[in-house]
Amino acid sequence: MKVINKWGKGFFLYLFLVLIFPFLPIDEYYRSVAIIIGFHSIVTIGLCLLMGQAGQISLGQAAFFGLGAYTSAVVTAKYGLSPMIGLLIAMIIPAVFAYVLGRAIAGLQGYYLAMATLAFGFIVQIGITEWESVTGGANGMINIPQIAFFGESELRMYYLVWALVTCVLVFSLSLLHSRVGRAFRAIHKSEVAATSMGINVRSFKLSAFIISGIFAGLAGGLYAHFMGILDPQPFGLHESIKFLTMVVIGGMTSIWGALIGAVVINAISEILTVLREYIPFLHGDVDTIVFGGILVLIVMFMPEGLVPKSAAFLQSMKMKKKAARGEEDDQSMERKATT
Amino acid sequence: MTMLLDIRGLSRDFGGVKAVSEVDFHMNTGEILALIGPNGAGKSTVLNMISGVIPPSSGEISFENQPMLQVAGHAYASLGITRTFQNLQTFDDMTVVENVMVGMHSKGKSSLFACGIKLPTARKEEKEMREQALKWLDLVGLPDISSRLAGSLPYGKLRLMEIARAMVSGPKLLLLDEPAAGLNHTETAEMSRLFKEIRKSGTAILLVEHDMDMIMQVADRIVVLDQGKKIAEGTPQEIQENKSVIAAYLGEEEEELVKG
Amino acid sequence: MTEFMQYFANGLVNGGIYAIVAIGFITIYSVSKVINMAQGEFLMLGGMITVALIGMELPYGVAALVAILAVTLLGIFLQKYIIANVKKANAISLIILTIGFSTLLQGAASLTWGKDAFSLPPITNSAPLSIAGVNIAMQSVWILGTVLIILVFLWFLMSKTMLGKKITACSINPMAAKLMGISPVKMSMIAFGISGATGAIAGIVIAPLSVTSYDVGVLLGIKGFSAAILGGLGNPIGAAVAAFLIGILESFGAGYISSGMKDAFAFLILIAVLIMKPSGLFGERSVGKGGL
Repeated sequence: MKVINKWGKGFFLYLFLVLIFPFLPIDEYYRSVAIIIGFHSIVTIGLCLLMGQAGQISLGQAAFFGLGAYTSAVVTAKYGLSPMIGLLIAMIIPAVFAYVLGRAIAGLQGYYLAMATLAFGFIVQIGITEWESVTGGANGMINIPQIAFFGESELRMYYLVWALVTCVLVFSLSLLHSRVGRAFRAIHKSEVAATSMGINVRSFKLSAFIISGIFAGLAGGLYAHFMGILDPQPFGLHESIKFLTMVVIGGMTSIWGALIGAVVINAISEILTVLREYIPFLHGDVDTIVFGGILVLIVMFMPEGLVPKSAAFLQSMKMKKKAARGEEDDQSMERKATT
Repeated sequence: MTMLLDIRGLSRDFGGVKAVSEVDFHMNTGEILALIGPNGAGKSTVLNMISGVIPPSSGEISFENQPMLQVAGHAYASLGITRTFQNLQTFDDMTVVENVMVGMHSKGKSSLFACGIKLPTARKEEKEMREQALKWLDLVGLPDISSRLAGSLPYGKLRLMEIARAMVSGPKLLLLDEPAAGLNHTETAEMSRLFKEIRKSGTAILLVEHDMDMIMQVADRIVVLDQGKKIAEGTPQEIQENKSVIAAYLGEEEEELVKG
Repeated sequence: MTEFMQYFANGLVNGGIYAIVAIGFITIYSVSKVINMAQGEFLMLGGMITVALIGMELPYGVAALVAILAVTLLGIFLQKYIIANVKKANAISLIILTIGFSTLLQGAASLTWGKDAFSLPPITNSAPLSIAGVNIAMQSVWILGTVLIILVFLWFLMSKTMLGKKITACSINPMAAKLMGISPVKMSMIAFGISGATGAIAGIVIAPLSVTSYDVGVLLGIKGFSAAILGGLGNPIGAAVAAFLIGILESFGAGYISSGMKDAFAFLILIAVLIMKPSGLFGERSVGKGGL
């Protein structure tokens, strides 16, 4: 596949790391952390398509995550459907919500769009909390069945989740270098120019909303079955901002950045958890301070994000080396990091 | 020769100011029509209305006998009208060939899903788009830089790239908004040659331009606007001898002298 | 009927607070085209700092003054050292930036004061007013009074003073203002300072009525923004009217439909307005694109 060829070593390194991770000699706890990172990656890759590619902001992504989680939980725990069907429905329901929301607000830009998605996030969270007869309200739900993926074990869950992350990743990378991905990026840069080239701006914005909603719903469904219990608390603004931070730190324009961002932010969370045992002062929401600080610092000093920044850095190193050897290379300006 | 574009009574106000008023003209298939006039004459506004970017306040535009005012902006490309922009609208973080491939958008059909899982049809379409884009990059004189980022190109090359992007879908009418602005002599000459090539391929060109040498060399007919109104229409020869045109331009020069 | 009037009175008080937040948004937006997502945190900090200082045995008035001053300086700091230093600012990056700042403030507040809710003593300790069976806490009167004073003060500042004219000039045409020797950067700082101060005051006056905690700013901020949009981003009077409207609708919604859904009403109103009339009920030119 072309995408894989293009990314060559990078993609195989990714596959290698994903495959061997469970066999590394580290605490088994970190396997469940890796599973959580998988959920987050699926959400952030979708958010990256929406924000970094199509240029639309969403401050309510956790709502789609929650919709997916509750949808799958309810249809499996209450109506006895199999978790695989639950996951399918967990993608459809958020897609429907994304469609309706997107239809309504696709004409909005900037601040208005941010506020509308933020309000949507709150409404969904309040709705989940208040619809007690179905969702169990603030007390949440218990006994959500696990996913049987050739049997039930955490290792199998790990591979299922990361197989899905890989699918989402390859799908999104392929999308990026296609008619649709180019349309997204064109809209981001100039809606007028995009329109003049025959791109239906509204409908492509809408499809970016829907695809990001579907990804978040899938991740939510997986999350519900992995946790076995649910309550509305982790599907609010705080979580949406966390997703935003992941995408921003990795680099909004880069699909790989979304993945790396999810890893980095979770790694920071884990480090803070460990530190908390030694420094009692770090009670409360140190994470919040750190995430807030990251957002501020990234926008101020490294707006392009980690992955594009380091890709550009590697590129310039290569050029220096080549220059030192006195080679001329027309390819040196070649794009590397727009994926 | 058949009528390609017909414009009648075209007007546009901006907050009470008449930028364009009651302009009529038509274009035939495969001709180069230049739209000229002093600064602020309303040329770009006319072009923006023909390309569907801004709606007219009143008047009619029909393209191949089809009224265009109800047509959605994104449908223009597939009907055969494409354009370039006065202040370049290039996608800087895409490669040159990708920029041109965006111009093929209206020719593609692949859905989001088909593109994401790379269905054979989507792959085939992508390959055709790329080939077509490379062909046009070659035609406009930009071979060999297709994989560079557009943001790294100099101004003159971006202008050419924009023309390739507008031409790649094989339009019937190409609208050019000051394509020679900011170009040097060699580049302008190259541009003129390109326009003639494009006309040969059967695409009509509506050219808004300031460079008189270029216009006299390439245009089949010229429409002159002044303060939003059409003051003359004819062959380059006729326009050069037209008194009201000379007055309009002289008026501008006098004003500039006074200002200077 | 008594019930109706009671809800109405409650809504009026909340609406007053939303009005202050909304005008804080507009003050900053009109000058710098930034929507400050940390606006709600200004209220939170106003209340929390006052609580903390009273806990340190400072007199009420001094504590409140110090809190107002601190938040004012924070607003200026945000503009001068953070927002003004962002290169290539656009709507998305400014949203991310100010959201980051607001998250940072929330985190800092929860680290310093914990997650408990605190309460301030009322400004005056007298029995609630009872008008035709409707009970109104004295603090509510204080709130409405403060809101009116702030509104009148801002109106006076913006339309009757030289400073107000300078600020208006910057919001209409920053280039021209610059040529006239007015510094848009300085005016932005002043706008952030004013927003900080009015936000802190609002935070202090509501703290005795509802409790205050590290996360009260979020909802207040969003509801204030809803009002700002409903009224039209460039129209302070429209925004104040819209704020009262939201407060009252919300209070009726909570009273007659479901108290748990109280917050959802404000958001539904926000989305409905954005969809139906993004320029606001009282008209405004901006399309919310933002950027510096």
